[in-house]
Amino acid sequence: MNDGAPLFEGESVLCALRKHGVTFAYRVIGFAVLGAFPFLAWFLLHTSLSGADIPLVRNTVLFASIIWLCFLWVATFYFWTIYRLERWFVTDRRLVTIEHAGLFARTVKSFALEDIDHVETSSAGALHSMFGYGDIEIIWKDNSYYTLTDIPAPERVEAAIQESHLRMHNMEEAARKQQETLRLVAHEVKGHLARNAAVLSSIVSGDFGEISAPLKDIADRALTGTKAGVGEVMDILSTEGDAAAHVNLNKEPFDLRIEVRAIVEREKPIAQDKGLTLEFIEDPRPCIIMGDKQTMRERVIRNLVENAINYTQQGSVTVGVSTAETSVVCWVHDTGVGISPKDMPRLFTQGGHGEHSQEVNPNSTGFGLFAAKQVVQAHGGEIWAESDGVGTGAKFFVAIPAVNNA
Amino acid sequence: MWHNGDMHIVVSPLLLVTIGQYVAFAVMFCFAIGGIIFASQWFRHDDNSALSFGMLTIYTLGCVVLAAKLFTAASFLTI
Repeated sequence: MNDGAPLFEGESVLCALRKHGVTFAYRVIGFAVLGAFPFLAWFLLHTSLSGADIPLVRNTVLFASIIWLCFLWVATFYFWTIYRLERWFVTDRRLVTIEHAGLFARTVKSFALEDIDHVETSSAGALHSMFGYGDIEIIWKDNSYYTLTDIPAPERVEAAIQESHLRMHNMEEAARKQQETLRLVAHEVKGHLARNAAVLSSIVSGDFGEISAPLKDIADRALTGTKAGVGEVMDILSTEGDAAAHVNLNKEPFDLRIEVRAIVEREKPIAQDKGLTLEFIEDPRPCIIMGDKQTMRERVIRNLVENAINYTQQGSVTVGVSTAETSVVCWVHDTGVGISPKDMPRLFTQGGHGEHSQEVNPNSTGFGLFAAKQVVQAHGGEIWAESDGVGTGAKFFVAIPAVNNA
Repeated sequence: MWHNGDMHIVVSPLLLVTIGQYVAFAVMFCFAIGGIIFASQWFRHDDNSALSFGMLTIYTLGCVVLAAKLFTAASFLTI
């Protein structure tokens, strides 16, 4: 439950606040005192006009009194409205404030907790101490400040803000260290892969003498895989932020069938080792798209085909490419574990594992489909999945705008 | 002829709607508009519909009582 707060996905409310109820009670008491005036006037009128009956005076006072009470009645509800609708929310990331200057002027502000410099609380006055409310002043790093007035238990709120601020700071630090580690590891791995690629290249090109055809074939495949690995690591090294999401594209027109065929050929031995049939169905017509063929091949097609193989225990994986008037569609069908309706919405999200996906594929990082979606979207295309549920297999589709080569 | 207690008020048709009654109608109108505005704000932005409904009921009951009394007073002013 977000308690009415405008939240981002995954954000949670730590404190939902409004002014202390006693501040509204003060107004009600004030209005009650003002509302007593007409009765006082009525009493004085009766006392002073005892015996005399002057209907016009009496009814004019009655009329004015009721107008006065009407005004106070509406004003009470006006202030009740403002009291109820003015809110502050401390979430695990932000301070969200909802202010009402009148009935229709609603202002929602959002402040990042990471920008807080320090927080001060104050509770001055007998009533503040008695009812336990006070003010919280939040001072930001740029020396601007924001004050939350008449907040119940300000110390508790301050503690929540400080705790959230500290947690965000720690998370930033952890993310920075993780990024550094990732880059270091990627750098080291790239070195090993590059050396492997050099050795394999020498073997394939015959620098160590003639080798048998089967061995040459294996070495050739190993070289292709190693080069792809080097490319992946180079991609990670070339990015600053989220390595998986970042996409550098070198676009040119190319035939998607060729890239898909290359992946199918590369993955076929892996599928066969697992006892699966990997089939490729291609459109006889050219399937030309504009894009980065290496990125499309390695981050999208390879991902989908490897996933299909990893999540299929028996049966087959079918990969196809076809072209229509406006788009080229590549699909990967498998007879594997399928996708439950619960897992479907988080399939293409960052780190989005299926509920039991790691039982089937322990190497799953949860970033493959997310990265694939980034690449497809960068090509102006769409990626989606269909499945009738667990145990029924899955179908993945990628549609990219076609280039008319007629 | 309207009767109020032991006082008899003769109202001319031309004076039937007086300034007092105009004011009474205006106040009632404000009450009604106010109710709509309050309700729209509460039900749209507040997270407690039951409380909003309760407040609207209290507001309306108060308005009915005050409006009824106001009309009585306004009628007296037609003298």
